[in-house]
Amino acid sequence: MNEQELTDALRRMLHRRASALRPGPGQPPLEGEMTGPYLPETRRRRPPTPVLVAAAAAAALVAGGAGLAVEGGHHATVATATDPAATVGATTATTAGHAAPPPAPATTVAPATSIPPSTVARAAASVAPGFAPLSVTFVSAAEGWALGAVSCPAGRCAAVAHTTDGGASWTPVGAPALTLPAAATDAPADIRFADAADGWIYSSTSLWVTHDGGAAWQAQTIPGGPGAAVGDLEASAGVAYLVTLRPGAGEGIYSAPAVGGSWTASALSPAIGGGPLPAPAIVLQGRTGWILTDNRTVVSGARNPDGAGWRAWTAPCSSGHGAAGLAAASPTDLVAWCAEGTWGPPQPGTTAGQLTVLRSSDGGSTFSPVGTVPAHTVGSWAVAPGQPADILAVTGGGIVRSTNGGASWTTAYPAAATTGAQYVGYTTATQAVALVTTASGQSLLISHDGGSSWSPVTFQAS
Amino acid sequence: MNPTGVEDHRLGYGVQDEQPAPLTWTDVYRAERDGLVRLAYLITGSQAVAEDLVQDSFIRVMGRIDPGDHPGAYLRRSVVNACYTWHRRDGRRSTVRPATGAGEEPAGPVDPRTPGEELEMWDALNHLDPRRRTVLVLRFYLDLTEAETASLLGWRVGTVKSATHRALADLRRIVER
Repeated sequence: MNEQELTDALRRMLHRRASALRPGPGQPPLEGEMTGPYLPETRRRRPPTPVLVAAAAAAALVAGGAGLAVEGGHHATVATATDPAATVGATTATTAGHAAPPPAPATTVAPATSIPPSTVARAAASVAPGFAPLSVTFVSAAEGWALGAVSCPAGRCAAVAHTTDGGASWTPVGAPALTLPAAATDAPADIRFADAADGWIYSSTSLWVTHDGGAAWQAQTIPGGPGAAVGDLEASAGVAYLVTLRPGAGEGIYSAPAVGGSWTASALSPAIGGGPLPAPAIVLQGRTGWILTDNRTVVSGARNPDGAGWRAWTAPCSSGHGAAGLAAASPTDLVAWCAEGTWGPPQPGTTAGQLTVLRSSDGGSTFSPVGTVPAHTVGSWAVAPGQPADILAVTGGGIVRSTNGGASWTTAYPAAATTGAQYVGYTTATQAVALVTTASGQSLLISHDGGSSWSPVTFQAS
Repeated sequence: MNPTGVEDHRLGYGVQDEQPAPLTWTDVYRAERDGLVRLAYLITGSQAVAEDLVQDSFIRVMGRIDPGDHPGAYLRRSVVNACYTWHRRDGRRSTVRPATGAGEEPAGPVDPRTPGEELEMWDALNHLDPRRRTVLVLRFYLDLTEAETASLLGWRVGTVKSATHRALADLRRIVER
């Protein structure tokens, strides 16, 4: 956007926020009255008077995401003060109108449901040895979080590491009380952040949210009633979207402001399909989004043009009778891969077993074939933001790359170096991250040249 | 001076005799307070902090000038300075994100097309350096000129220009990632 558009949007936002504010009732100060912790500089020396209003920054209450009303919304955690990263955000201002308690150690509010309480922030100064990264999310080239597994008395527990220098160094932050299956290389849980403060960790059966960069996490009830499972969660442009799977019903699509608030259901409920493994995938670019669900074959699609709302959409690869994946470089540029002919006839003009690459420049209304991926399966698929020609894919044993929209491919990270790769994604058009399994375990790789070359990340300070 | 009520500050007539009736601090408070709270809220990101800082500013200014003596400009300068002091002392802990709550979500029907963009812009503002954030609020909410902004902050006009330029660049970078 040009400068005029930016300043116009800024003005609009400032005026809306200001006019939406409801200042609490104020009293003109009497002589000598002091409020808050900020002692005014007056010329007169006065004897100290009692603090009259105890609200604002001195309160040690963590105001978490509102979640669903049933839980009562506010969970506080015991935040240890030894890790500076854990302290950031552990003290947040409460809004006027709440009678804030005097500064006190944060207490845990036990919710009425069986949701486990939020967790204790880690006191360690460095990431535990043996931290096995399972999922990674970046909100800029510099700042990101990795969800990983560490050994714990219960077996393997979730841990989270945070970087603000593009992965060169990491510090531990808080983590949900989540036990992970032993030695799984399929990520049983994922992490996504919308911005420096607001993020989620989810598995199919649990959902956690943070609004302070990961210092504290609150459990949320998965919306959609008992038995609802998380299918996918993504955030963009200040909004988080959640797709759930409900037994005996279609998918649920929910949205919530990234900064916090309850999940609002969309009217649309895409089909889950009859196969054993429904896998909805949310793809977002700005305010525009797509959902593609495959369950052996592509079974449903949904599209949200520019935040207008979710409506049914014919996803690409629907007639290929196989799995599919989608990525977006912009609200109009999409690339998709289709596994042809796995469960029925391949798309016309293709042969069973090939992986077709399709491209759309109109936000998904029409697609046309570009080429094929030289592999049998695609596990993860990403396109560079703003550059639809640059694509990375995880295939059978490694990472492959195209710079011409999928017409031809080179090996970016060879299969021989890994026993499997699970994830690839772009944080910017030139910086990419990948999760691979090597002989020595799980590894997070970073590329600064759009995926051409990769180096492993070290989580522990040397 | 003795510690009695606001009436002690009532001087009668303003220096330039522009008010038809004597102006009291109660009058000034009623006229100016909510606007100052909104200003402080945009600079600090927190309603509760804004209300405290504005209250302090009234006390500070009440002790120094007369209610008829252009208190608005003094109050505004005092509030902006108080916000900056607050940012330096407490802002690092408190501006990771502002508290949300009943007083801070837009009231009434909201255009469904705008919340995402607006929240993202607000969130971007919350991540700016305090000086840059303050300049953006003064220039694009109060619509002060560069010269007026410089005068209020006690900076040179050139400093205001470059801070504005950098602040917009920061904002664009965060919003367009």
